[in-house]
Amino acid sequence: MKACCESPVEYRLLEHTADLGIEVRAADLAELFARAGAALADLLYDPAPVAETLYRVVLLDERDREILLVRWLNELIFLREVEEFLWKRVEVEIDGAFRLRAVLLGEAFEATRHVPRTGLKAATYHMLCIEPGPQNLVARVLFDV
Amino acid sequence: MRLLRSGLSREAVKPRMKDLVESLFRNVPSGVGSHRKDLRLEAKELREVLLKGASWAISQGFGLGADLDAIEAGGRIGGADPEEVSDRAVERGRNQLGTLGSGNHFVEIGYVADIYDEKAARALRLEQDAITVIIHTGSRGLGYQVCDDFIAAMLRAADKYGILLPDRQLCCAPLVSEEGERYLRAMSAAANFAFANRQVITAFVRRIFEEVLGLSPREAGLSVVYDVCHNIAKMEEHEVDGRKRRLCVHRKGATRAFPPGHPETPAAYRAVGQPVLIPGDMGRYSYVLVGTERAYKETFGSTCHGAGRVLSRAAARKAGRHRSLVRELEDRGIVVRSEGRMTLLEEMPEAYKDVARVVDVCDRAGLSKKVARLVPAGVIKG
Repeated sequence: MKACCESPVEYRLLEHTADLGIEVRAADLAELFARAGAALADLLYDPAPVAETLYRVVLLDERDREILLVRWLNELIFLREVEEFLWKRVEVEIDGAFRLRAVLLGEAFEATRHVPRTGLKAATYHMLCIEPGPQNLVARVLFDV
Repeated sequence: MRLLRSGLSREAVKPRMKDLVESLFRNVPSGVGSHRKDLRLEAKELREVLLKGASWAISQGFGLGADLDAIEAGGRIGGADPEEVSDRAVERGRNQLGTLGSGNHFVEIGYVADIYDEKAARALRLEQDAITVIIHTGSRGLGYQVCDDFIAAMLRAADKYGILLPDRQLCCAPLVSEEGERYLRAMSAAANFAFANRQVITAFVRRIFEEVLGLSPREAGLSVVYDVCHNIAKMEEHEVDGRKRRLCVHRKGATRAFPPGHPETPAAYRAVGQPVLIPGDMGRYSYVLVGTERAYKETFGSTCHGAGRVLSRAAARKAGRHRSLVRELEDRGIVVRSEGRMTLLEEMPEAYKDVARVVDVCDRAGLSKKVARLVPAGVIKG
């Protein structure tokens, strides 16, 4: 399955005393991952002024979808922190065995044009879930701030 | 967490507080993925940092040999193995030495507002109205990556050892197992990076004070009161049922509070106990305490490490949406500079419990003893 979306997307901030969490909804797993990546962008920085001039590819292979989601979001945090890469458009492809291939479109951070928001250390497994909703899939994930 | 004392009075520094905060903000990178352009280490050098901790920084000119006497474990946890730290973690740490990061990390210039224990304050050389500096940061992206790498390993280990997990974030392995031992070696390396990070920041703080105030190092008189870990597991000797035993003590949301006379309490403080540093929020106060015999007996030499939050980050954002925190704090005599408005909102004073009440509980329970209260005057946040 394949999906793509552009930040900002609709997501819900979850209440947690010490950390921050998000809840995203989507029709299938690929869209869920794409939307989670776009929601993470919106937490980390203002996606509006981000141009789509560079790309990054992320390849992951995990034993279940929850581990895959945490690994995916942590790859994105690594890209933001180490490569200073900001993404706006997220394209995700996932096969049945939890192999992910994603293409991120965005650009490098520039202090004069981009606005940082929250600093996140990592996505965590605490209270992590991917479950069926009434008409879709729901993911909830907490970030260590 | 590190506390510096100075030879400067609150009144002498007050007119230059804005300049000091501005210079700290410019010279100690803060915020998301903050990094230094002037200090990027080669991977080989970084592995030296992981082995040697604060003493590496001092060997490079960041500070004084005497600083090491006032750091937990001398600023270097034994048993650290840089080879257990992944290349990816090293990559994250290469330009993060000397940076603050975000979240609840800060550098705070304050002053000694109240002294509760004259004898201990004298031993800690804390004087009424003297300027202090708190440095609260840790192992930065390198530490998060070590955590991430080992969570993946521990998820596999939990399966291997048949450990049922109520929550995957609690994944683990027996301490005496290949996975457990490897983790302790990597975690100790990350702790050494944190000691070196605070040591480098200390050197920048000293330089900034000297430059902005036009003082010599001797006149500024910035020296380390103490540097203590806030989240760490350590092998220690404690008495259990009348028998000395070597234990792994994990302090998470807790800090070490060793008693007077303990060999790991620095010689200068051995008569009063190990200094304990408990930060509050940026609008109110922080506390200095000392460790007690009772803590050693009842809580394996541990006490609380901070106020704890009362508002979630999401709720704090909502509550502060239409407020100017910078102006509000300035009206209270506190100069604040922050990289991100969101972080400032999430860290607003009302988001935290009143640390005075938390500290009073620890004091009354005998787990640590109040020495002094520090009030903020200038803060930089991530």
